[in-house]
Amino acid sequence: MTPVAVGVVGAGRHAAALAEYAAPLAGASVSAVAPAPDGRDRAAAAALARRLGAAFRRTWDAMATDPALPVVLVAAEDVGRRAVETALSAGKIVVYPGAAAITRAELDRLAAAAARGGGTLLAAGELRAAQAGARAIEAATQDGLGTLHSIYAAIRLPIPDRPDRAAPILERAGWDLLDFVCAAASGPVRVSATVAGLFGGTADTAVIIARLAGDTILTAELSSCLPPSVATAPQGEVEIELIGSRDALRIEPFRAAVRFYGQRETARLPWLDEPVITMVHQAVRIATGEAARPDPFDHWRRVIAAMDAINMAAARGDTITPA
Amino acid sequence: MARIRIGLIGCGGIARSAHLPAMHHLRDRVTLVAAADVDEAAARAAAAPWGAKAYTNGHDLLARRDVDMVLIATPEAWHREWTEAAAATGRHVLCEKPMATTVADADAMIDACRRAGVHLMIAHSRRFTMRYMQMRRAVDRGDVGTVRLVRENERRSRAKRGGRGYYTAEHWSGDPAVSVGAAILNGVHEADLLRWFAGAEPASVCCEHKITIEGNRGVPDFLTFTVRFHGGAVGSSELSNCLPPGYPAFHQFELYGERGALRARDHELITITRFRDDAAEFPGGYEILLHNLPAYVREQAAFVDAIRGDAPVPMPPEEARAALRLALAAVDSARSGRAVHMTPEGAVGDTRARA
Repeated sequence: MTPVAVGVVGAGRHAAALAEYAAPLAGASVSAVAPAPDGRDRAAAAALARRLGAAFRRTWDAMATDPALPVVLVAAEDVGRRAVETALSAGKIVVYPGAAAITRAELDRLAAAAARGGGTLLAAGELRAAQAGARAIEAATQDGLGTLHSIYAAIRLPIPDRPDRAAPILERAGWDLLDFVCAAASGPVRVSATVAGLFGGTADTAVIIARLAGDTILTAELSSCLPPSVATAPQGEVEIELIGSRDALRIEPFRAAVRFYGQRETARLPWLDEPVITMVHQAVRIATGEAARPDPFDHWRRVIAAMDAINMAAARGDTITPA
Repeated sequence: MARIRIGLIGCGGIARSAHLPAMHHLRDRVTLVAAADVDEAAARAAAAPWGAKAYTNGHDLLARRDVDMVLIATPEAWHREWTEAAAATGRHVLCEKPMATTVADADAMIDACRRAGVHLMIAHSRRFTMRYMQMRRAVDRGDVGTVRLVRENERRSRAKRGGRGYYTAEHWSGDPAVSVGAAILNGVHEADLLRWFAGAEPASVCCEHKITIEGNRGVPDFLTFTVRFHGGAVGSSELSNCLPPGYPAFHQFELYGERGALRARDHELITITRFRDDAAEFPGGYEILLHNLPAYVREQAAFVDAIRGDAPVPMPPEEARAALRLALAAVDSARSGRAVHMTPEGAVGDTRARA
């Protein structure tokens, strides 16, 4: 069977993860790599193409519309949205890892592009796309735990060298969290949020309590609070616990993974395979007709609404009921 | 020195599992002379090893002349009544937590004991648990700088199907006429720890609670709350009583300061797990978990020493009242669906046990 050809736009860490996978992709091969739309990673993209044995394309736009590439991986975070829109318009299956901040207007544009060109968007944060996260969502949504009473999630990141210049914690980790929560349960019907600068940043900590539709209660603690002395600080920590009426499920990737202790830092540890690998494999199954095309836009609208509600609750210093 | 003569009112689970064994450890300093419970069999079982007298009415116990100290281990709805009665007869009072079901009752208890000139201490065992004592020492030494973020989560398993566990219809904690619920039965511990370690008074609290245990008659058994303290520190706690029967009673405590962190997470402390067909056991780690006898021995010994030395009790009742006030504010938040803003009521007090 001929492998599904994958084009890669950008040389961000998700693209690098493809090169580090060190195993053949199931049913897929990376055929071409192009730099991100802003062109900043041109040299890195060329190097990545060499490592993957793929062709290097000087510009992203021709590749995003190339009929020979049914799957396009956009590994360029925010600047990659132009490429995502173009590829969706061209009918591609677009893999867009990283649940970065996105506005309703941007989402509507992507939805319109997908409708126009017949493209499919696979966008997920690391929590949702990782194997452990995906299993947890499956358990929560397919009666694996009984009635889902609660979701507890703690995401702890290292204190950055310049905390005053770091992005707010909700931007850094909130999208990933809400992407997971909205997939495992639903959006909030009542939410309170405490956002504070506790470790040198302006908004480095957020504690969120929400009652979700379906009466699941979410408790989420996000903070850039890890001092360097904590062994897991370089890669951060994630702790998720889902408590159902029948069973409970606990994810502790910071403990379960094998660690490599280098001379200067602890190696970054993925949750088993990198989420992007899972996403590319899903794209291949869609391309070959083995899996249905997802409709992600309603999900992402719920995620955006949840983020809006959290920001509003934090600004008001009170519990709010989203419209 | 003569042993302190204890009268025990309430001979249920916490008396059996914690206070009576602690008394045995301290038998050179204390003796049980009487035990009372509405359940006569429970009273007899508590009294028998000591050759003590069993009563079905606490007032009969208080009528004795040979009781120096009353240990109250009834459900919290009766703490005020028995504290006032004990104080009125000149007895020192060690009372189980939560202190009461309302702040007004807590004030009345403090007032009654102050007027009677007797000691009152609420049995907040976590303040006498080595883990927290050591952490508090580290905070006092300045090891982590100013405390900014504290979290304490508690996980407890539900009873096996048909069992008489907490918050079931058969247990007093599941009776809405008697029990406020997890917010004060478990949550007063968390409220106390967050406040104690933050070293500040709460400014606001947001909370959600719910009923998760099958057969529960309307007492919230699940709770999650966030506290913003004056001075800016943030505390959070989620506690659940509905974990599957194989899940151990686990706590996750973390504290992040300006210069470092302190963490004690039970999930990381377990060294051996034995999987049986119906549950998991943790023989290698159990001794280092919270539910250990030494905390209750230290607590009881500290109170007895205060009586003998006519010294202040190591944990003033005002501290327990403050924890109760915070826990009840969380209940208000959960019921109203709004943040509850709190005005400061003085400095966070000390516990001598930490020294």
